[in-house]
Amino acid sequence: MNRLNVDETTREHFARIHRAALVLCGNPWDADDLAQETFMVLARQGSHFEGRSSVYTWLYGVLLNLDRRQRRQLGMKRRKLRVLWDREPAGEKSVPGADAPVEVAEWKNSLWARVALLPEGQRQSLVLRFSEGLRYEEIAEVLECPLGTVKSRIFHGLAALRRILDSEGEEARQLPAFPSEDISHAI
Amino acid sequence: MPFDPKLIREDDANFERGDLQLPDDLAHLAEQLGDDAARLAATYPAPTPKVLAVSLQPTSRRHTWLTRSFAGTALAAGLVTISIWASNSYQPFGEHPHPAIVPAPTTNTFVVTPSAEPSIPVTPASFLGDTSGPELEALMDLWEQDQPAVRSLSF
Repeated sequence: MNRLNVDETTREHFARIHRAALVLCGNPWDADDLAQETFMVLARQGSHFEGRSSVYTWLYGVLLNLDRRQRRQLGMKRRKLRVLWDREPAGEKSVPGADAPVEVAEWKNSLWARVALLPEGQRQSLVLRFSEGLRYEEIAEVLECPLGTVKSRIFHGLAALRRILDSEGEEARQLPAFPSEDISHAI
Repeated sequence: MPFDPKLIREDDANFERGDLQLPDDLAHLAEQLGDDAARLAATYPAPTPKVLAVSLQPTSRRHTWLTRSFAGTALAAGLVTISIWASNSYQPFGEHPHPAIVPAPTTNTFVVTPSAEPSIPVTPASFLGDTSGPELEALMDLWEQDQPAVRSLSF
């Protein structure tokens, strides 16, 4: 893929990849990094794209791989920080711990924060289907799994989401649309 | 036998056929997921892709790099030329441009200078010119055995 195609592909698909990253990460900063890195991969390895799939499904695959790697790294860091945090005296804990994930209020109050609690396969399937509007066949292509598995993950993912909301109570079903942003815990 | 669990959902095959029919409550959740994603994207729009930002600059950067390379090469070549010219034309003040004539060093080399009027009669022996090395050695041995009072051999 030459330079012109990279530019065209970036202009055409960056917004949708950024949106998927935002839904996955829960904050715009990590989403920016993730989306930028996805297109850096395109610039570096775009020549290896063989055209067997659509460009955007290939990009979603890259994005999900990067997200998986980032979650693994963050998980390790948070576990280490949690150990330090738990050792501090309880009286001095006036602010959230350093291991607290950075998430903007809009995301925390959306259903996507609950989707983040689901298993990876269900979470990715729901993002690709309901945030990105991909067809089942395209999701199967991105996730490299059978079509029936995709539908099953979506169905069971939504059912699990329903149970999470039920456990949170009726109040959680009526989520505020977009309250004022609260990122004080992230500063 | 190694532990190699494979999680197989039995109902995956049931989903393979036909379209996915969602109950109303799940369909409502799906709709709300789409709305939430749209709101998030509207609240936090995508920034300018860095790939594009980089691609806008390569011509000018490449031009700058080439210009600096040429300038550096020209500067280095100029410095080398000047240094060579300076080393060739260097003349210490007050000295002759030609190389100084170095006097022959005084040595203790023993030089045999034949006297103008040799007291010893010299017999030209032109035939020695055709003698080989071993023959010459043999002649010198014979000469020593002859023990003349005054002898000399010149080549």
